Amino acid sequence: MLDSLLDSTERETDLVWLSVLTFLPILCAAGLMVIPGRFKEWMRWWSLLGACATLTVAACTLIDYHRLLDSHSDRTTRSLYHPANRLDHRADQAAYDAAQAVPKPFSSFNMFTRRAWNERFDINYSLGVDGVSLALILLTALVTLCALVASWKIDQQLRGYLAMILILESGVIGAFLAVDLFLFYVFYELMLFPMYFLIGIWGGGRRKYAAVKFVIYTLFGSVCLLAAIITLYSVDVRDFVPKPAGDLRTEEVHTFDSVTLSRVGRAVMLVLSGQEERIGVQTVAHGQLVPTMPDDTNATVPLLAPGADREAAIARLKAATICTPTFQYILFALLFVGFAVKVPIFPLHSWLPDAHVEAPTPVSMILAGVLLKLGGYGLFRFAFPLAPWAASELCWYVGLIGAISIVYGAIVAMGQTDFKKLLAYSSVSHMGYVVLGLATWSAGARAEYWEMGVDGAIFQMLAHGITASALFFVVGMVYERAHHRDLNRLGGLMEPMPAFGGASAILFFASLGLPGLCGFVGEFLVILSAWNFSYALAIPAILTTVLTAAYLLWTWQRVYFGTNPDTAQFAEMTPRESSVLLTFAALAVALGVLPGFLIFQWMEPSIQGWVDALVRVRG
Amino acid sequence: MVEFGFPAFLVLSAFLFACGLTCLATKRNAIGILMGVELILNAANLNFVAAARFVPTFRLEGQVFAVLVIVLAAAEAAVALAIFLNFYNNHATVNVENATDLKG
Amino acid sequence: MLPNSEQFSALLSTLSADLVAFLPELILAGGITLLLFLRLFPQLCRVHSGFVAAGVVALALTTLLGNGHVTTNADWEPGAFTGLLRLDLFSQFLRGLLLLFTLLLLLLCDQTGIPDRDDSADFCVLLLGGTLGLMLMTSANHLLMVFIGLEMASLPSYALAGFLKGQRTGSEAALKYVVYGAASAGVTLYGISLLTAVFGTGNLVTVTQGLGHMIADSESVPLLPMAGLCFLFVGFGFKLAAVPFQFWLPDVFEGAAAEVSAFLSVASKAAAVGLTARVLLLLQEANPESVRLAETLGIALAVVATITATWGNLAALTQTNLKRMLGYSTIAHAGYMLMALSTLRKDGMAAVLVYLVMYLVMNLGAFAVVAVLRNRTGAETIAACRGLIARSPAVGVSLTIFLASLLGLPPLGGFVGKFLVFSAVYDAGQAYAVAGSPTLEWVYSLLLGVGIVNTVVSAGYYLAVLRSAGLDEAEATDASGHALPLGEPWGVAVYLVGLSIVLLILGLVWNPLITLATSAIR
Repeated sequence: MLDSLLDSTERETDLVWLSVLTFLPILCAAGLMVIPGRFKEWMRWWSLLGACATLTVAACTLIDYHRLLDSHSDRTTRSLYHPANRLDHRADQAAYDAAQAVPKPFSSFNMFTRRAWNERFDINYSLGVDGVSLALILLTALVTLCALVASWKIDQQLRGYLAMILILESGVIGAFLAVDLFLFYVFYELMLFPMYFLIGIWGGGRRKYAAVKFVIYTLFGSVCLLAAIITLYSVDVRDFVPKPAGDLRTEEVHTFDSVTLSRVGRAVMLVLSGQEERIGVQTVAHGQLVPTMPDDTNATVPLLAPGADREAAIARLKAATICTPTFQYILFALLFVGFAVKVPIFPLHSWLPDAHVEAPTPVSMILAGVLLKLGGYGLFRFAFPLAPWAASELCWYVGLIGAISIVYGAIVAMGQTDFKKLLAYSSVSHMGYVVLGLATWSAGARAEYWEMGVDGAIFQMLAHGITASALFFVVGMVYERAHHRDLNRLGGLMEPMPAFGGASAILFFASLGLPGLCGFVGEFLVILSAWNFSYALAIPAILTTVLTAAYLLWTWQRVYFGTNPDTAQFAEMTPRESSVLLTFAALAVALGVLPGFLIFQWMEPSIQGWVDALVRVRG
Repeated sequence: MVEFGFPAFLVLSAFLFACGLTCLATKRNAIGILMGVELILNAANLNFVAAARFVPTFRLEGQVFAVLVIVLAAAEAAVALAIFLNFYNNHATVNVENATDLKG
Repeated sequence: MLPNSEQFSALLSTLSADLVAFLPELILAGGITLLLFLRLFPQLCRVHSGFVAAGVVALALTTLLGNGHVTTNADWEPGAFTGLLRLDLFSQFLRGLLLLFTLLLLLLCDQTGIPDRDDSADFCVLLLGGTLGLMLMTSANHLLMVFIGLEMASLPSYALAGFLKGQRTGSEAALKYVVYGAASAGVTLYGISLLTAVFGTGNLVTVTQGLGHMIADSESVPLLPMAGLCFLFVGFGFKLAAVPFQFWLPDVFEGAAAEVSAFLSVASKAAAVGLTARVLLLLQEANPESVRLAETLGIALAVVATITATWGNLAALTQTNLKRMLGYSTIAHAGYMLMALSTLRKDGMAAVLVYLVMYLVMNLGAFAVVAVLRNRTGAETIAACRGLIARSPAVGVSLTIFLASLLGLPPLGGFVGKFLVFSAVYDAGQAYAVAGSPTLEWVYSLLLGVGIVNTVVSAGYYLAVLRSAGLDEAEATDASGHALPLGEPWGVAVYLVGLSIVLLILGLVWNPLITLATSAIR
C-alpha cells in the first residue's frame, strides 16, 4: 500500500484522506509515547491537538462529500439524492474497476477507496463515506474532543489514559468507515481493550467488575457477529462479483465485501418471496455501472454482476444453503444480537448501567455518545441489508423489542436515585427509538414513512450522542463539587451556579424531546413512522415521552431547585467546563432549529438510497 | 507337536495386553506400573514376531520392529527408573498416591 | 531378499539425495554429540553451551530453509530412506516451525538462565534430542518411525519435566508424566502391532489406504484394524492432550519450569498435530469421494474436540496458578486445533498449520512472561502479576497482547488462526452437505457454535490475568505508594516486545503464511 502512495500514477487522494481520518488518532497516541513522563501538560495539549486535527479532517470530509453530492444533483428536485452517489453503487463501481483485466486508475472523486489486503481471502481495505457514517464520524470526533477537554483533571497514568482514548477513537472511526466485513470486525474489536482499561483503571469503586462485565457482554456480541461473518463468507458469490471480460473460471468465489453480500441478500429475498423473475443483471455503459434511477419503474432489480449468466445464477442461488428461511433467520438473529448488545437493547443492556456508573466522566461521555451508536449503525449498515428477507419478516418483533426498551428504560430510570444510573437507563430508553425507527418497514406507497423512521432513527443517534454526553458531563461537574451523585442529597444548584443551570436546562429539555431542541426531531419522526406501521408499537412509544419528561423534569427539580446549604458554596463552572457544555448546548439548539439545513440535507440522500434499495425488493 | 496358527498368538498377546492394562490400573507402586508397561510392550512384540512368522510380506520388517522395540523399552525403563529415583529422593517413597502436591 | 546390484546402486543414489534432505536432523544429532563432548575439555566450557546449542539449531534451520529446492520435489513415491520418512513440504513446514521454536526457546533460556552453568549442557542436549524426535514424528512415513519419533520426543521430555533438581513438584511432575507417557506409548505400540499384523507392513501409506477403504467401502470394519487405529489415536491424543488423555498436562505444567512447559505446550503439540493431520489426510485420500470417513471418524473427532475445548476452558476458569491456567488453556487450544483436524479436509489442515504458527508465538510469549515473573518475584500465581503493567510496561503490555491473541482478538495473530479454523469448520459442513450428508452440515455448524461459545468462556480466565496485571494495585510498592519496577533485564524486555510485534505483524500480513501452509498440504 505504501508504494502506491508514492507512485504518482496510483495516487488516490481518497485513500490518503480516509486513512488519515482513521489513523490520525492512533498516530497521535504513538506520538504520546515519546513525550517524557514529566511533561504532563504537553501530553494533554498534544492529544487535544490530535483530536482537533481529526475533527478538522472529518469536517473537510464533509465539504468534500458535498462536492460529491453536487456532482450529480440537478437542484430541481427536493433532495440531493442521486443513485450514482450511493455508497453501494460507488463500492460496486470500485470492485468493477478493480476486476478489469487492466485495472483502471483509482478514482479520487468518489469518497471510496479499495485496496487488496489479503488477495487469497479477498479481504479488502475498503473504506467509504456516506451521509450516515459521516454524521456519526463527526459526532465521534466532536465527543472525543470534548471528552479530552473534560479529562484535564485526570492525573493518574496520564499517558496510558490519553493513548487509550485516542486508540478508541481510531477504532470507532474505522468501524464507521469500513465497508469490508473483516475490516469492520477488526476495528470493532479494537475498541474492546481500550474501553476495558479505561473503565477498569480510571473508574469508580466497582470498576473491575464493571469492566469485566462490559468485555464479556461485548465479546458475546462480537462472537455472534464473527459467526455471522463466517457463515456469510462461505456463501458462493461468483455471480455477484465482477470478473474481467473473457474470464471463464468457474470455481466458487467468497467475499467479505458487505455491499456484494447485501446484493446476495436482496436476491435471496426476491427468491424467497417468489419474485425470482425480477432478479436482473447490472448493465455497464462506458465503463460505468448504470445506476437504478428512483423513478425507474422497471420491475427487474439489477443484482447480478455484469456478464453473469442469469438463469444459471438463479439456479445456483436457489440450490445454496443461504437461500433457505432457516439460514436467513439465523443470520439475522446473529447480526441482530451482535449489534443489540452494543445498542443496548433490553434484555442485553445490563452491562450499561454498571459501565456508566463506574466509568470516569469523559469515558461515560464517549460510551454514551459514541460507542452505543455503533450498535445502531451496525443494524443500519449490516444487519438489515445483509439479511433483508428475515429482517422484513421479523421487523414487527424487532420494533417490539425497541418499544420494550423504550418503556423499560424509562420506567427503571424513574426509580433511580443515582444520577448516573438514571442517565444510563434513559440511554437504554432513547436508543430504543433508534431500533423502533429502523424496524418500521412498511412496503409500497407507505415506504415514505419507513424512510422517515430511518431518518428519525439516525437523527436520534446524533441527538442522543450530543445530549447524553453533555448530561454525563453535567453529572461529572456536579460530582466534582459534591463528591456524590445521590439525587436526594443534591438540590439548589441554580443559586450558586446560574450559568451552569441554564446551559444544562437546555440539555435536559433537549433530552426529553422539547420541540425546537434536537431530541424532538428524531423522536417525532420515529413516532410518526411507527404510528403508520403499527399502533401497538407507536402507543407505548408515545406514552413513554410523557414518562421521559416526568423523570427528567423531576431530576432537574431535585438537582437544581430549592435551597440547600450543602451546595450553596459551589463554584460556578470554569471556562474549560463551559467550553464543553456550551458547545453541546449550542449544538442541541442548532440541530433542533435547523435539522434540515444542518443534517438532513446531506444525510438524507444516503438514507433515501438505502430505503430505496430495500423497498424495491419487498414488492 | 501341535502347530499353533496366527490367531492363537494374537489371543495370547491380547491376554498379555489385558494383564498389562490391569497392572497399570491397579498398581500403586511406580515400579509395578512400569512392569505393566513392559507387559504391554511385550504383548506388542509378541504380535510383531508372530506376524513376521505368519505374514509373508512382514518377515523382515517384523523382526526389525521387535529388535527396535526392545531397545526403546530399555531406554524408556532407564529414564523412568531415574525419574523414580529422583522422586524417591524427594518423597522417600515411590507410591504414586503420594504424588499429591500438584492438583487443582 | 537382498537387493541385487542394480537396485543397490539405485538405492545408493537415492540415499545420497535423502541424506541431503535429512541434513538438518544430522546437524542436530551432531550438535548433541558436540555438546556432550565439550564437557571433556574444561577450557572450552567457558563458552555457554546454550549459545552452542542455539548456533547448532540456527545452522540446522538455515540448512532446512536452503534445502527448499531439494525437498519440494521430494514427492518420490516410496518416500525417503526406502519409505521410512516423507520429507515433503508438509514436513518441511513443521520441521522449520520446530527448529524455529527451539531456537527462540534457547534464546529465552539464555535470558532467564533456567539451566544454570553446570546443567546447561544437559538441558540443551535434552532439548535438542526432544526436537530431533519431534522432527522425526512430523516426517514419519512408517509406523516404526512413528513409534521411534514418539519415544525419542517423549524420553527427553520426561527428563526435562523433572529437570529442576531437588524440587518436590518437579520430581512429581516428571513421575506423573513418565507414568502416563509410558502407558500411552505401550498402548500405541500395541495398536501399531495390530495394524502391521493386519496389513502386513508398517508403511503408513499402505496401512492408511487399506484402513480408509475399509471404513469408506464396507458397512462394518473388522475388529483388529479398528482396535489398532483406536490404540494409535490414544498415543496421538496423549501428545495432543485431548480429552480423555489430558490428565497429565496441568500437573506437569505446574511442576516443570516455565520454559519446559512452553516446549511441551508448543513443540510437542505441533508435532502431534502434524502427525495426526498426516494420518487423517492419508485416510481421506484413500477414498476422497466418500463421506463415510467424515461420518464416523470426523464426528468422533468433533465430539472429542468439543469436549476438549470445553473442558479446558471451564477448568481454566478456577485456576490461581498461572502455569496451570496456561496448561488448561493449552488443552482448550488443542480442542480448537482438533476442530480443524476433524474436518478431514485440506482447508482445515492448512488452517491448523497457520494456527500452529500463531500459537507458537503467543504461547511462547505467555510462558516467557511467566518465566520472568518467576525470576523476579519468585511466584507463578495470577496474584504475582498484580500491577504488572504499572511495574513494567514492557512486560505488562506484552502479556496483554499475548493473552488478547490467545483469546482471539484482532488484529493479532491468534485471531487469524481462530478465524481460519472456524471458517474451515463451517465450510466443511457446507461441502459435506453438497456431497450428500446433511447430518454433517449440522455437526459442523454446531461445532462452529461450540467454538464461538468457548471463545466467550475463555475470556473469563484471560481477563482474570489481565485484571490482575492491569487493574489491580501492585503489592510491591515503595515508600510513597508507587509500584516498584519489576527490574527485568533489558534483554527479556526486548525479547517480549519483539514477540508481540511479530504477533501484530502476523495478524496483519498473513497472506504468505496461508499460501505456504496450503502449498504444504498440497
